[in-house]
Amino acid sequence: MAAPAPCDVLVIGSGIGGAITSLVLAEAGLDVVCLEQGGWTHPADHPHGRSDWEAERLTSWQPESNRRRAAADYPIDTAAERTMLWNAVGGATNIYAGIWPRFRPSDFRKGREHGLAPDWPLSYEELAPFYDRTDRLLGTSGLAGDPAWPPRPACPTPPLPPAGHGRQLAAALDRLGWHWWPLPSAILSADYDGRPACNGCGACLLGCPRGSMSKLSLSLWPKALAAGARLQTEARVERIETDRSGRATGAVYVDRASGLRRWQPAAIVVLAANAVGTPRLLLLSDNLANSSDQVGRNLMHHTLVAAELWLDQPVDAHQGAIGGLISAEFAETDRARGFVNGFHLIGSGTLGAGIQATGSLSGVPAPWGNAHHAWFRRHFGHGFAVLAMGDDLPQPANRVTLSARLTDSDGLAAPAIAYRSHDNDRRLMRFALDRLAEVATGAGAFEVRLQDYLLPDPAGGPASYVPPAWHLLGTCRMGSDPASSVTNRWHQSWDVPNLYIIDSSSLVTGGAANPASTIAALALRAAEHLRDHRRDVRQARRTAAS
Amino acid sequence: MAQLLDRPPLRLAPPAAAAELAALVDVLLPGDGLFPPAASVGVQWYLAERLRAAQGEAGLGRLQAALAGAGGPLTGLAPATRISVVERLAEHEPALFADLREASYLGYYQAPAVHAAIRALGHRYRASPQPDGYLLPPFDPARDAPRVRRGHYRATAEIRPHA
Ligand SMILES: Cc1cc2nc3c(=O)[nH]c(=O)nc-3n(C[C@H](O)[C@H](O)[C@H](O)COP(=O)(O)OP(=O)(O)OC[C@H]3O[C@@H](n4cnc5c(N)ncnc54)[C@H](O)[C@@H]3O)c2cc1C
Repeated sequence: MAAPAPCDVLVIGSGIGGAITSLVLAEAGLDVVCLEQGGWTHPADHPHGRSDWEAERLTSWQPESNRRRAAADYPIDTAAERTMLWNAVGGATNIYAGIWPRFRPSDFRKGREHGLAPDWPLSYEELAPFYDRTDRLLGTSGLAGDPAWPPRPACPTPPLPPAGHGRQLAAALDRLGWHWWPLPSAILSADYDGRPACNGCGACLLGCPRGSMSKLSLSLWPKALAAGARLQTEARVERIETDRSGRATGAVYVDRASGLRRWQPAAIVVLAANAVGTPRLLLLSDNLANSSDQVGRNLMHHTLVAAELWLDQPVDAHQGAIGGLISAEFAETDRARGFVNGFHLIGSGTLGAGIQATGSLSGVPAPWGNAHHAWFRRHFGHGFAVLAMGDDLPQPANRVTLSARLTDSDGLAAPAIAYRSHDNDRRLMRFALDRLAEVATGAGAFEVRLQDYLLPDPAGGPASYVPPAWHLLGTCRMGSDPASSVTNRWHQSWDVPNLYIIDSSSLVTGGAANPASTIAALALRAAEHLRDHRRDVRQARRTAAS
Repeated sequence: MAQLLDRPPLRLAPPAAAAELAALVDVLLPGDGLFPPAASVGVQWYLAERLRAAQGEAGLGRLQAALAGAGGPLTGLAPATRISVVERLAEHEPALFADLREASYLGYYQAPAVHAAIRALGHRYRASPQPDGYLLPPFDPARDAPRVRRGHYRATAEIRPHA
């Protein structure tokens, strides 16, 4: 094994957590090496300029890694969910939708509020300045002044142009007397920071080759590299090593191009491989940082139910950025509803004619035969979707472990995932489905299809909720108590003082909001703290609570 | 992944198999006064490529066997009988049929002639999302911001245990 010089900080994973950490620390003059198992997803790789772009979305650009099976993917042993991720520079930002709402103050205080989830070891107010700064760092669009969130500064660019479906949904919500607001987004509505404004192509679900959406390989990695960070692609970490005192010393990785094992020593290790990859790697490293037995536990995905609805008026929802507006009408807990936590409604565009005909969100395809074209005339350009995304409770049994039967292409044990929705969350979803039906009525839809993601049990038992799991959260949560959390409030491992976990696995609760803005704000906060305390961390023998 | 072809790829299906695929896609997407029949825009070649990609050389044979099992081959049958055969295929081989239908729809809506039909219905519709996109009028606060400002949140200090 070749032995390079130790770096100051080794970052494992180049998604939001890894990219922001690498940037902050490289800008401070530290020698940062980032190991990423995937390669670059270049603008020309995206299928947006090809006529078969919709077929690509179901094959090579399929977000579910178990169905996509790209070279950098690892298998995931689960039938409980459809796990979605992207293994490449920038991680999931290569295919996310850039929907960018913040968590709410109550999301950080669920312990106090209802006790079925813990409080975070920090408050909304503490994170707010980092939300503001990551908005500017990554480039966002939106409108300040939403009464449903604490006051915030203006986004760097104004809200995206409203698409036809957004206008119709806004009118429906007004009729119902429910809150709505233009959706905050990590998609630029005006040129910003050297990147162009969105041109409304509507194919956000295949990522954004223009860089109008903050795809981190275009927005942030160029800055991190310019600051001196060294990014090693095709480098799959198989193990974090420790010395006798229990401090991390670096990582062994497989150079996927050559198949050789290599060793990267480091003074500080930051794990940013997401809520599946991070616990997997700790478990592969002889159960590292897991004296609490919390590594891998409390996996969250959000609850999701959705409606696809069609109106008489054309909305042409294949045009414009995918997200339209957000309603926080049901975002806070109201026990009278029969459950704790809440959900947001998010209006969403559709892709093109092919995906719409195959059933888009509902999974019910257009009829074939003589009825097909009549269906198409009536439905195409008249439909859009509304998602109801809620906060699922963290449960210890929902967890990532190591598979006993699957390995990746380098022979490393695959992650196995167990996930089952809590009764509370099922009640939340049923309530949300009723609200979606009301939205459809309020919008005057001539047809609505509700999607509950329930899979019937062939043996006749109760149907199980098998979610599209694009939000991978929890599994190495932060906390105030080493017995019930994996890191302290600064993302520093309780057990290994020079090991940090800065990614989606740090989240204590999932909020009812798309998580990327929160992952980014947390990463900036953690990375700056690490930057400012790096000398202590280099020497530390134990992790302090604050 | 395969793109829709305007002519048969050289290595593709023998003529009988190609005719059977053409008959199948025309049952699925027969065309009307505006929309062209699927075979006329080459969906059968796309389907053949998809079958080959998913199942290798044997895929086409399997499909022909499944169609035969449902009362085919389609070629040589009257239009109404073809529909009955495909209905039986859908009933007896639902997974295979779902794949065929998905591939046929995705292939069909790649065709320039189909895009032209969509545009003739009055929709702005491009062959691919980029490079032109669909520019929309910019956000105008006077027109596009909520008129009634609803909504609330619980500030950290207000969060109390729920009864
Ligand atoms: C289809 C889709 C749509 C989404 N849309 C939205 C949205 O609109 N809004 C929103 O807020 N969120 C969205 N999300 C979620 C959001 O993108 C993710 O939660 C977030 O990007 C996760 O960031 P991360 O840094 O934790 O991990 P990731 O982005 O997953 O990055 C982790 C990186 O670590 C690498 N890695 C893992 N293991 C190893 C190893 N052993 N060695 C080396 N490298 C390794 C991976 O290859 C990957 O690149 C979406 C996600 C998906 C999949």
